[in-house]
Amino acid sequence: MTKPWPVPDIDPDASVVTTARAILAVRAGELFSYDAVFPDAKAVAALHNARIAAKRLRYTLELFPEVFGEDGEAVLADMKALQEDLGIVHDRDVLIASIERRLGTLIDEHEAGTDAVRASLEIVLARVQKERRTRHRAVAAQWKRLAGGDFRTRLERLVGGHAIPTAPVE
Amino acid sequence: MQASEGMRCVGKRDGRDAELAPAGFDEAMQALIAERWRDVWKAMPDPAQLTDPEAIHAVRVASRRLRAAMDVATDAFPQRWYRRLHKEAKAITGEFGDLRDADVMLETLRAERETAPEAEHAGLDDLIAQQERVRARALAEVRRYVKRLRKRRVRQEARRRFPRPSRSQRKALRQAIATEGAAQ
Repeated sequence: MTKPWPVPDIDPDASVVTTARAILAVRAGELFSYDAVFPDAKAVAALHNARIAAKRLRYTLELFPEVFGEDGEAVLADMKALQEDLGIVHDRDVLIASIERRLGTLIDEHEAGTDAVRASLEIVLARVQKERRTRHRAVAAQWKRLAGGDFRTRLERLVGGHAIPTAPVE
Repeated sequence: MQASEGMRCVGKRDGRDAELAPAGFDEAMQALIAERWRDVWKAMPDPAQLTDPEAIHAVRVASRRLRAAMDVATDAFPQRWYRRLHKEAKAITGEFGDLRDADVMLETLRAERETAPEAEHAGLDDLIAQQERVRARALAEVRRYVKRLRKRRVRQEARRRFPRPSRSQRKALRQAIATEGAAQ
């Protein structure tokens, strides 16, 4: 799992509202850094990390509901949907890897009866790969809709005067 | 609520509930982290009840939420005890990870087996059998971990460092945050 981007210069004595907005700005920057990853069907690990970034943004909104109010809830709903769809892609990726590993083992084993299992697994694999392609297209379209719409503007409103970073700031 | 080492009272001024000034980040995180530790222990099943996938999922979700809170509060709590508890929070998510992954995979495979054409049955049955073995190993690991967690008295330490604020203190804190948020 990738480490979360650090939130620089947190002042424990600063108000929770100011600090929560600064944290949200960093989490938003972290998610936007995956912009080029969403359309890339082959980016298995990076898509998983994008899902984690969406989850971190979601948890920040959930941590301070009084700060972000109804606008925060709307972004939260977008994040839940994105995270859910990315989760389905990830589950397909895990299953594909598991089937491929198993097929590799069966080829090595050459045990009686494994031919039927192998043939069946190859059918399963082909179906799951096809589903994965469909699911990924849905995720890419979902992100395009978010990024092309007012998602960023809504986040900018939520973070107040804080800039959304484009890279981690130590 | 008695303030312990490394914490301040939430929502109190001069020993009584008071009209709150804008909430400081450390005060707010003290209360939020206390809530999230409480959620983790509430979700944590007895080692004997670890077979329920929903219970495993609940622990994972609660520990992730706890981590999200603790990750952003490290500057507010520079003490060593905080780093230890933060590490424990990360460990809970990690230790339950393999078991949760196995549950997700098994649930998916079993659901697919229900509707899959016959040509896929042998393959799916093979994967389910494999995954059941993976889950059994992961379950044994988690059982050992939960026992270790109890022995090390992490729950008691978390409760000592992050005592739960009273209902009125939590309400006052939420109001103070909402008021300040609306004013900005």
